[in-house]
Amino acid sequence: MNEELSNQEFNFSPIFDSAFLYEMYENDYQYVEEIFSTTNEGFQADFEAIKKAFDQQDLATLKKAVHKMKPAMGFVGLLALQEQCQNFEQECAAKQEFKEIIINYHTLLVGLTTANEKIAEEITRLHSFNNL
Amino acid sequence: MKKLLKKLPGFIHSITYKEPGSMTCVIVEDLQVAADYLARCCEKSGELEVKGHFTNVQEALPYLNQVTIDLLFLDVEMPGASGFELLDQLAYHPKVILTTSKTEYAYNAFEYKVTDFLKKPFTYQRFQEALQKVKAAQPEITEGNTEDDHIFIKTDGKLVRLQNNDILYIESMGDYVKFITAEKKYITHNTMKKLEEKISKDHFLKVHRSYIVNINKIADIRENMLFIKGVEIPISKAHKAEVLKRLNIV
Repeated sequence: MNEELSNQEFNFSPIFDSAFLYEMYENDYQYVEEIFSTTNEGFQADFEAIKKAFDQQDLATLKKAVHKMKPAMGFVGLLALQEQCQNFEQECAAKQEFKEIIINYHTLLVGLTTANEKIAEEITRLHSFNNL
Repeated sequence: MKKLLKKLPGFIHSITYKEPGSMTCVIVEDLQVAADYLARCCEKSGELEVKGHFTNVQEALPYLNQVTIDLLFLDVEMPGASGFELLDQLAYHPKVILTTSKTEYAYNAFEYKVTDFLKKPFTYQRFQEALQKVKAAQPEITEGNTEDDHIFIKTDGKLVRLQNNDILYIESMGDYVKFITAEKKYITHNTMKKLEEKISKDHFLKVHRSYIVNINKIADIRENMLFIKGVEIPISKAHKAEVLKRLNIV
């Protein structure tokens, strides 16, 4: 990337908290791409762990699996989703019956699935930006 | 240091740089992106040498009980044992910065006397604030700290008590120091600079950048050499005046 372009700000997609990402990583978009890529690489295993715990109706393991996913979403600026994970984690700890978390689980699952797609798209956008 | 920690869970590695006077640290964190980010913060600070990254307590503990580090970045919730369980089993107490995404651990953090608590994700500025707290914190009771008449050193995976009166002299070996007593030699991971701050000033005196001697063990001095139990120890020009000042010359 030439010097002129290196001073440009990358426009993150609206789902990501751009103010937070600028604060975290300043304008080091090579590093942001790396952070997004690392998150993307770890996503599937963590996502599967969540689904497996749910299928086994194991609230304690489900809580742990969501706990691990939570900061990963934070590092890529998906702060609302991070908070959603936090709330769901607390719900897993508080609820006695598995059926009580089912609706919110499915809501979370939709959020995470969308996040996975958006992270992958953003990596492509960042990669193009960094290789201009 | 891009990708330095990537795909190396549990693998011990060293970063190639080391600033003079830098602190050593270990990262125990199961989230790869968080470990990478922490390592980058450490590098950016120019004050921390990352000695290793572990993704769980079981792998970290044997390593941590064999080396002495200054600072531990520790996640709390990890597969298997928790970060607090690791602290329970450590043979010594480095400074600890907890890295977690739960503020509920603040009370435990206080109980375990951790230096700071970083809620993930955190900015580099927040990281720096935590590092300043580490630097400002008083030394813990650990390797090199002294009571009135003795010192504890970590060697061969255990803490050994040495009476000040038993130590003849201390010799620098780069990142290690050697304690020489009449019976035995002990090698421990430490630097002369750190040791100087901790040892009893009443008993010991630095005579050369590589030597600290027990004043009471000096047999004689000839020009720029002193002798302890027949061993010649150089006195540097920079330290000679202080040596002569401390001796009881009549």
